[in-house]
Amino acid sequence: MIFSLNMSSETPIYVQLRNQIVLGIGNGELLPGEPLPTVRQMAEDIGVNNMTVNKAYQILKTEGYIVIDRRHGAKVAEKQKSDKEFKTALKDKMELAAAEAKAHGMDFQEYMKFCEEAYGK
Amino acid sequence: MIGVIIILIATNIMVVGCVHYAFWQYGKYQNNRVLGVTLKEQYQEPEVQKIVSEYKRVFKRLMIAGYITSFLVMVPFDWYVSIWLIMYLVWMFGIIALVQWLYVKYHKKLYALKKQKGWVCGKTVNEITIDTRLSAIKNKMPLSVWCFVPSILIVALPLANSNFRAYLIGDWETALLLIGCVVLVKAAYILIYYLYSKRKSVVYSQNSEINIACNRISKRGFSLFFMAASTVDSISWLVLFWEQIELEYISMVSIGIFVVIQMGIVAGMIYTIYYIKKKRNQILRDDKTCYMVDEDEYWASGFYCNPNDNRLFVAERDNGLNVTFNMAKKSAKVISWGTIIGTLALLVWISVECLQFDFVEPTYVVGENFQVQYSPYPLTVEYDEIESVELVEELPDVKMSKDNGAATDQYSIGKFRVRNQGRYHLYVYHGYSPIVKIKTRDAMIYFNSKMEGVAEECYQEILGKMEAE
Repeated sequence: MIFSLNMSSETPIYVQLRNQIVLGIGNGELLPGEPLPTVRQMAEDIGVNNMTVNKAYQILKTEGYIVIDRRHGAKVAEKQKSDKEFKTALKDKMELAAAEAKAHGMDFQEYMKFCEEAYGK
Repeated sequence: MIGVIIILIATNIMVVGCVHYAFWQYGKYQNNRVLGVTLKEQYQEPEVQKIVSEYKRVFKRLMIAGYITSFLVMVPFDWYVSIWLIMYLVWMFGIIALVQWLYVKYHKKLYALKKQKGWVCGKTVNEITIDTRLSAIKNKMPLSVWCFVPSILIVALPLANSNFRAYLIGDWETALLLIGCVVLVKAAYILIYYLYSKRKSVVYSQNSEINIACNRISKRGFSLFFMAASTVDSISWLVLFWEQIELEYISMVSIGIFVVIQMGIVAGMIYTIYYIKKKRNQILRDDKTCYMVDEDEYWASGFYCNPNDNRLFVAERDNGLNVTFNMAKKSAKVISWGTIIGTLALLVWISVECLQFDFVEPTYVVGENFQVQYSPYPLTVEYDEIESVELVEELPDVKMSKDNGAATDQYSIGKFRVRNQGRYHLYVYHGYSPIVKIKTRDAMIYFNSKMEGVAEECYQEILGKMEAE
């Protein structure tokens, strides 16, 4: 998977990294079981502190997107089930996104088109 | 003498050649860059062409002057060594500084033009592209650090020789110097290998296979070169060791072989860079998904300065093997300025020492003991250590090897060694006689003066002191 991080963005690097890996998994660019670079390898290539990458990996591990093995490093977790807890959290995010769309004057059709495009990516 | 001059001229040409190769590359349009500035179709603009051809013209003239002065700088070699050495250092550092200045001048000129025109080429500077498949296997690309073991074993071979071990114990100062040099060189090879292996992976394309192939060629190729160069370098040190053990001095032939081998290593490095570039270009030639990153803003001053980058060392953009400091980091500034000031201080110190050899004579004091007051090589001898003292007309006709000091046509000053006879302390100006010869329990001392009567006077006084003891 190839992705870019914006070093001058207000979004912290570890958040961007977390988001990019989730996007990669969602889009099928990162397959279940696929090895990820170690914390050190990733930090060397991005040019940031090991702690930054470690923070992103720990969040991804907690969220269940990746598994970290002491011997084999990090790899993409098997596909997760969308349980009730996840659906509730997702619904909250969707409500917020829909509210923001309405506040900016987007109509339902346009908003749905955005949703379709995002999901089908 | 002729041999030394030929070796030095060859070294001079090699230095100018390396500078020529490295800085000529900057004037070529490759990897979408010229003079360190990223450009696409804008490269064809007449204003760009004008700056590039101006750089090439001035650079060519400078290099011609460099090659000519490679010979001319050797003319004063036969005069005063100190004056020659100062001229030589000024020449060598002058060439490097001038070429660097020329590059930075034209780089800034071209970058200013790019900014003025508002040209943007590729992804923005603030974006870092990562290929997870590439990063995940980056450590498997270079050869293992264990590949340096043969080169270390080769250079340690003399330790198996009993003569060498006896030599180490008997003359620990010279042994320490030789071993120190070898350890430093080997450590430098391993450090460069380490820095290169840890270099950031480069994402050339949207195709991971291509990224992996390009990075593998470069990392595997350079690590192979470092390993081979370290092994060949070890063999060249063996030649020097062998001669030092067997003959107790290092001949010009061995030094010549050593220099030729080192030049071979430099040639190997240039070939490796050329080969890797060629192979990489072959892979990228047909790829339609190549990335183009415009990070000129970080190289605007001619040096890398990126506060968003946590690394201290980064790869040079246009020179395959070079690494450079990230000048946005405080430690990089401290190390850079420390190295520059340290080197200048060292050169000034060496020059002052050499000026002393040429223009300051030792002072001989016959008092409570015999002293040679001479800051590079002071000496004190108690009278009861002296076995005999006599006046001789010239130095003995024996092969002396220099441990530490200066030996020219005009003088021999410092610590020397003669096979099976031990250490010699010399303070002798050739062409002046008599020379006082002092034999002590563990060394021979020879000294004289350019001033008439000084040697005879010292001789008489030492004789008197010995009789009084």
